[in-house]
Amino acid sequence: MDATASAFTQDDDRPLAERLRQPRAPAERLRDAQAALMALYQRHAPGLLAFLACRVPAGNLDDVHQAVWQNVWQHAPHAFDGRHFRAWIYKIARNLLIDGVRRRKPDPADDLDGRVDPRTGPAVEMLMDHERRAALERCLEKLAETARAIVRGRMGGDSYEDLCGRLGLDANKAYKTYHAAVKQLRDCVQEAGV
Amino acid sequence: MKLLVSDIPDDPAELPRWLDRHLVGLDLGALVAELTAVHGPSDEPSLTDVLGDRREAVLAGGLSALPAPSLRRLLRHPRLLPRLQELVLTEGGPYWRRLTEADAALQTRALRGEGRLADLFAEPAPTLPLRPAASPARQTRWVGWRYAMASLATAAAVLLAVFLFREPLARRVLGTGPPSAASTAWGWEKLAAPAPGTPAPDYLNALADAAHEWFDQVPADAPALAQRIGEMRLGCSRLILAEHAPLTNPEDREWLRRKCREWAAKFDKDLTELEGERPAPTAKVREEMDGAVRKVEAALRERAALRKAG
Repeated sequence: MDATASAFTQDDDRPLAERLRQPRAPAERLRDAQAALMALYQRHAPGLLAFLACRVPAGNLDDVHQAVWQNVWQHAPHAFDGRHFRAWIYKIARNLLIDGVRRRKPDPADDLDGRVDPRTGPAVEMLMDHERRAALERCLEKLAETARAIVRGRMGGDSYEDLCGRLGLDANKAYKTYHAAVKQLRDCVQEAGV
Repeated sequence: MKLLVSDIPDDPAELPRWLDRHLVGLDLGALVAELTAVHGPSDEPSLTDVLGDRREAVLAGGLSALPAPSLRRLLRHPRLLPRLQELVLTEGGPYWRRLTEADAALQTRALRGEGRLADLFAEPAPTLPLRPAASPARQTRWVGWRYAMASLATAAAVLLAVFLFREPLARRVLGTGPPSAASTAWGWEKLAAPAPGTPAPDYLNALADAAHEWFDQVPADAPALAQRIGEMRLGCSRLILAEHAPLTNPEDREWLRRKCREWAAKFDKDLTELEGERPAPTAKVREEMDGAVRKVEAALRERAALRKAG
């Protein structure tokens, strides 16, 4: 196996995961399982928070994150086989999110922009910030056409070289136009107060 | 609102790393919203198509493994980004973990949640109706064993409560050392008079160690937390009034007493919040105290290091 493959196929969590899923009695085992949970938390909580942050409303992030770990702690001895802990916690997180969506009443102000991806199974929706999106769309409309084209190009990963060739601009002008447009956009969205 | 897309690097070579950081940061949702505003809706390619044969290289080393056209497709089809995020978080190598470790906002948030871990050990049942991540066969048995789980968790909580009462956290978690003799004194209250000739750095570090004993217990309710804060506050009084013989430099003694008064005021404030007419949630006050004690400990160790160096 080459180094690249081993980087993401190894299961570094397995020793800790085995300790986590052990029976919770006697007290020494309970302590050891708690210590294993803490170590796994420190390893995976930041990534899990990032995952949840774009899928739950900001005000619920900490509670949903806590709920994932609550499930981990409660179900590890019975529902976890000790392999691929990382995949398991994200599966728990996905299930929580899906259950959360099913329980939610439709709220037009808090629209889930999710679409089921047939390649990956049930939706793990991203929470679209429609207010932010709408504010920026309005501000973009206020830009001059050339400036808007440069902004779209740069924010789509085009280099100045690409843009200059396509729009027939010199690099200096393209650079200045872009940065002036960005400043205008920043001021505009700031005024929108989103 | 901060316009995230406006920070897109001018240098194309920095673009992959910039996007990597956003992919595993707290603001990916905002970035996707902004990119969607910029590029509008369009027919979406699949993530598999975009990554092509570079999938494993991306998992191992980030988006710099992608050719520029693929990177552009990701930016122009931002709905792919949450899927890519999930992929790198669930299957990515140490490169991606290091990015999350380097993200101060994520670390702060995770640290805040860490304080709530102890609640898990004490709570018998989920606060939200949850579904376990089990196989379909197991899921059909979920309703049945959910109750069994709750009973087991309750039993564990009882065991833990007994345990919390008897043993400090260092032993609970690390499983080292013999059980302590029953005693209510801890931290600064418990400290013996320093032996003659104790160097100032050792003394300051001993005070830091004693402060750290705050974390030996995780009070589960308001009365227990109030008692614990009160004990910490008493320790402050003791320090304010102590002689501090090992601190031969008068500046150190003054510094310590001044800091102790500040810490005491902070502890008093937290206690007031807990006991007020509209009391703050126990978990919130405990988190505040945890943060304050961490600062106390850090200040003492920093002073010790300063004296050791000088």
